[in-house]
Amino acid sequence: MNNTNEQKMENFLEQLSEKRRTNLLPSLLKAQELYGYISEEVALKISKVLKVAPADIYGVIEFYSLLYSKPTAETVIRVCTSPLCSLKGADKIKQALFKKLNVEDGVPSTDGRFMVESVQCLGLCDQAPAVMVNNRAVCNIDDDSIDLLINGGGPGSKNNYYSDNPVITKRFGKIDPLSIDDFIKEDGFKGFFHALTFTKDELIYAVKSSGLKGRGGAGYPTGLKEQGAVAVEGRETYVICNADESEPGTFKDRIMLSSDPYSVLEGILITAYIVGAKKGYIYIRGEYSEVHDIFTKVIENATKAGYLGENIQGSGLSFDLEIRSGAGAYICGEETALFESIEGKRGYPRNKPPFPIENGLFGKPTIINNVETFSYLAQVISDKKRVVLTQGGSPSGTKLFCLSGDLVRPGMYELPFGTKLSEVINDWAGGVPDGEIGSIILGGASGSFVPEKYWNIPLDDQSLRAVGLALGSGVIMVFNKDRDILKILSDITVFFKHESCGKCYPCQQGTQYQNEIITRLGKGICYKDDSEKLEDIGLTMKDASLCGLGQTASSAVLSAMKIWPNLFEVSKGEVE
Amino acid sequence: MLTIYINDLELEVEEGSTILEASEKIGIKIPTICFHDRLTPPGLCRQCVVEVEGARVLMPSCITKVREGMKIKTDSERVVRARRTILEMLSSSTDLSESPDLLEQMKIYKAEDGRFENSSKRNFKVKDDNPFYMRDYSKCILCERCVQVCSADIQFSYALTTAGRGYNNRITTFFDRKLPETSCVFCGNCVAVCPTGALIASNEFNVKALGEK
Ligand SMILES: Cc1cc2nc3c(=O)[nH]c(=O)nc-3n(C[C@H](O)[C@H](O)[C@H](O)COP(=O)(O)O)c2cc1C
Ligand code: SF4
Ligand code: FES
Repeated sequence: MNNTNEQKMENFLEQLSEKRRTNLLPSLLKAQELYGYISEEVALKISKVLKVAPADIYGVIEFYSLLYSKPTAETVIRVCTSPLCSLKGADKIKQALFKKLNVEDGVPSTDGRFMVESVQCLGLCDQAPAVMVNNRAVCNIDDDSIDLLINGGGPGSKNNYYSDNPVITKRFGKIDPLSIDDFIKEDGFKGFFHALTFTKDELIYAVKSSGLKGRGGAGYPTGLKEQGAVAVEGRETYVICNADESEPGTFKDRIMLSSDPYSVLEGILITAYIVGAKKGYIYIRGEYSEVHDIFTKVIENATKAGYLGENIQGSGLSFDLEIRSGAGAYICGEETALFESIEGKRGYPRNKPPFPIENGLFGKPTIINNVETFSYLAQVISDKKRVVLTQGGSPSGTKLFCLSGDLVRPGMYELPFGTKLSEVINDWAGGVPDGEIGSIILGGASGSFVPEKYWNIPLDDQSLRAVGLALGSGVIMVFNKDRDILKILSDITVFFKHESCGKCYPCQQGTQYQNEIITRLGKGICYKDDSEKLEDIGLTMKDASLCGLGQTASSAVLSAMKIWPNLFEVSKGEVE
Repeated sequence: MLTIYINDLELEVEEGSTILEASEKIGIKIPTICFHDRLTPPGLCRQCVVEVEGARVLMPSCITKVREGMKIKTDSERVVRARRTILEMLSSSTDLSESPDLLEQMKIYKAEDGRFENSSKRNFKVKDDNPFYMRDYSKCILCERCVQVCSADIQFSYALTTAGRGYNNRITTFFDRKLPETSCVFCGNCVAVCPTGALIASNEFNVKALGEK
């Protein structure tokens, strides 16, 4: 064992202010960074310092994809194999890398220099195919970039965003994202100061009447959540920003946090003011190390400028924000799994009730919102007219849409609610290059295929709900006519099989069997009761799973079965 | 007291009771797997789900508390489908031969044994690393009771954990060490609560093996 690494690990553990289980993930991530894996010896050391049972530590290491109990390699190349990257040739890239480096999937080379591993969505879907080389994203990979990326080069990631009437993206490109002065010059913190002139009840009323709903996928009214959290005033309360973004097709939070991070901080501060919280966390997915670095600076600068810490801007509000890094688990975006993760445990969702606003992180009332929700909240409150709104209305304003797949201009679009689906695809994203739309998925891997008769539907909650569709986190995936539906479904079902936490039976087992059947169908082998089996599995997951992951893991399959029933039937010809 | 309706039957139940308790009171049997009356209910098997009017998804009756006016169906089509499919998937992945209760449930719900292809059937070698008990994880249904009793629910030994994720979850020890090399004190609580014969006292195992020959 390397001496200096040992010293570094020791120092890391030594400087931890809380030597408790909550620091387990940060400690394991540190060990992973230093040694490339977590040995028994290091795990035992961490166990002693944090007073966590060794078996529990092993359970945690084995849960998270970015933690390893066996040596990895100097350079780990993670190839995204989720639907969008798969479509654009991820498999070819993987095979080329295996061959060139003479390795197998997930097994380090004998000299310990390289490891190539298939992974799930990296949040770079608009620049597919993409890989991570250690902490560096390499995007739009073609045959030429393979040698480059092995040698530390290759095209990096970009922030592709477009809007002609920006609300929360209005500062994008105009400011240095790290400069708090730039932010302030562009009306930054206006919402926060505005909030200070109102009572909590007035603010909650303003948020409620603005119609703002959560942008993380579930769409719960933000004002109602705040009201619920205030109701338990007097108890210690936490505010959490959910930046775990791992839904295939979603990359908006990455762009938001790297283009205007202070606006997210502003929303967090306003929320802390409303619910009386003194401490908050921002949980950033482990693969977004650039975002992690940006937000570290943001916290540093904001603390220096008096926007974090004691008595913020003389308001009487004291608030601290801590960054927590995920470690490779989509399920940790689910709010209660995220709490477990911050508490240093396997990312198992909790049964609800109790709900986070009564019993969340460390058993305390907790308000958790998505990155986009916080940024929007700051806008809602900074707008004087909205704050004095007297009548509630339908969700007004704009939404961030993530477009990916076979498109001329994939990327993030800030557009008004109610914009037509076809308009977003054809007018904004430039339509399908040299071809026609074959199919559309709305909502990400957990979303559904959109029947052709709805391709013109206005993108707002009411219109979509009326026909059984949902916007989710705002993902629109577009596939051209040549794309194989079963291949898309195979990639989606692999995703869920890989990301199911395994706590509850319907999803633990259902994601496995769903994928087995779909993969076999993709190979042209069909049995006569396949549709029936897929329906039993799909509806059981939807109805009986413990959390949103299992409840939506069959959406894409079930929707495809309605649109293209013959893909799942023996009439297809091959096998009985 | 609260008034609720189970399968259209009106009944008075105490506030704070679960749907499972309320149903038992009037003799309606709801199947359970992970529930154990002396342990914290983890609510993970979902075999006890029922349909509650107004709820989007089915509710686990073992942990869902009754509410005034609640209308519950314990045997609707959705409920029966979920229970049957859960059993069919379990029997496709796991050796249930020593789980009489589950075999009985399969009969009741007309579940087809091994209905799903088992290219991924869970097959493990029996772990025989101590004089007291053996671990045959091909029979493990991941109810996590053993981990519970080994940890804060009873023993505070913390020798066991769930490792892996999703379908690849498995019960194991620190770095898969042999039991004598862990904090296990061989209290036997895990063997006592295991419902499937995955954990079995060594002498009992040997007797069974002899019987089969
Ligand atoms: C499997 C799963 C993954 C999720 N991932 C995220 C995520 O990455 N980011 C997020 O904001 N919400 C995610 N959510 C939703 C959160 O549970 C929660 O509803 C959300 O953070 C609340 O914030 P909002 O009200 O602002 O949307 C996920 C939910 C599920 C079931
Ligand atoms: S639905 Fe899936 S992800 Fe959610 S608790 Fe169950 S096994 Fe875990
Ligand atoms: S008995 Fe397992 S969830 Fe209720």
